[in-house]
Amino acid sequence: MAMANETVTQRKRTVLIVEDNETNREILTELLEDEYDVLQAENGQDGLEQLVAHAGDVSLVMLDAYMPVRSGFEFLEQKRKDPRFDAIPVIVMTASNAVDDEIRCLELGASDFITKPYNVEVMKNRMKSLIRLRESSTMLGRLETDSLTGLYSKEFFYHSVEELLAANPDERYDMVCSDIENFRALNDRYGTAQCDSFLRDVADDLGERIPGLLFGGRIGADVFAFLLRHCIDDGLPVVPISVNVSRRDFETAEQVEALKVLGCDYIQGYYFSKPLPVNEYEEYLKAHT
Amino acid sequence: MTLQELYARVGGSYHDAKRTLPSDALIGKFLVKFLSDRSAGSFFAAYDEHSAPGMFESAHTLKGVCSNLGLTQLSAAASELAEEFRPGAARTMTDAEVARRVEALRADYVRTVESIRAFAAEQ
Repeated sequence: MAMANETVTQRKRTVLIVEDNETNREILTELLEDEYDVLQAENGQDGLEQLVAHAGDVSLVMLDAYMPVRSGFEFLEQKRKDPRFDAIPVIVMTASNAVDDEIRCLELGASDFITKPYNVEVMKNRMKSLIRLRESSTMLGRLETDSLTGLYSKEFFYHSVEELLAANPDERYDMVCSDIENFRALNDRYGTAQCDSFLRDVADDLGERIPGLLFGGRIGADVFAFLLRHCIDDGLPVVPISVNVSRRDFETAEQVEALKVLGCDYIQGYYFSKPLPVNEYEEYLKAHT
Repeated sequence: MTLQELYARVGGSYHDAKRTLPSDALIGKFLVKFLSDRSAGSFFAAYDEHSAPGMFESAHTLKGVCSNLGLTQLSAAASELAEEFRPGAARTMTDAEVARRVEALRADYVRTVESIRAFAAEQ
């Protein structure tokens, strides 16, 4: 029996074939349907509609350049304007002597080309490489951000701070950290969903209040860190370092809901202090995570 | 008639067909499918209507289908006419030359279709 993670990696990806000629569409389908779920579209317009109808499912597009109604060039132009589809790789099927077409398609965001007649092995290998590349970069993107708050993940935050400091040795930066007090007790009392919503609000709120903010990261369950341009000597307002939410702020579930609706201004008990110099942040984080 | 004999008769390449379609059964299946393919008909209609964009698009499509099926002679003839009418490209042939090539393509196409029909009848 296959392991669960093997099933995930071996699942059939979906490929969209956009080609006006029925014979060519069927040849491609025949060649690919053992390894892929195949969708067909007979012109660029139909192809865009298929992308909308199967949003999130399509791993790769095989595209003919010249088609009636909407050409492959127009398909590429429209596709790259839509952030939902921009990252889906496209292999354009061209004639062997169509260098100008290839350049135009590359400018419009095509990923690769195959020439007719198709060499099946070359075609399948290119398809696999592009799908793997796209899925790796998507995975990397997921690892870079914390899915709950949209802040950087802990590792990516550290990495980004190190890179920034190394690249700008003469610049001065400050670090602000927040820690929600009694978070575990809140979690026990109100449940994960309510507290997740609260964490999102706190992250958004701090992100908006901190002056000179460069980026922030979620360092622990309820610990955030923010890197900002140096401001201690600039006379800017001091910023929160700790979010103190005591039980009295959450007497009822309705109040939690009200907090969500009203935003974090409802929270009482911010502790204010000056931002930490960046060289002290590691010690602070060690103590809080 | 074997597939190899069919390809020899129509100026095609069994080897090229095999590169795209890995089995004789698939080659046979799509050769028969070619009998109902509309790209050649669209090309002759566009020629009769003096539609340069129509001639380019249909010749381009015919070239692609034929190259996938290893019908190299037909594909090459369609390619020359497609390039002649490529949008934005300067014309290089006289109208008489175009007419001669279109008739050659038509004869090629008819011979190919008849040969495929004969092949299919024997299967």
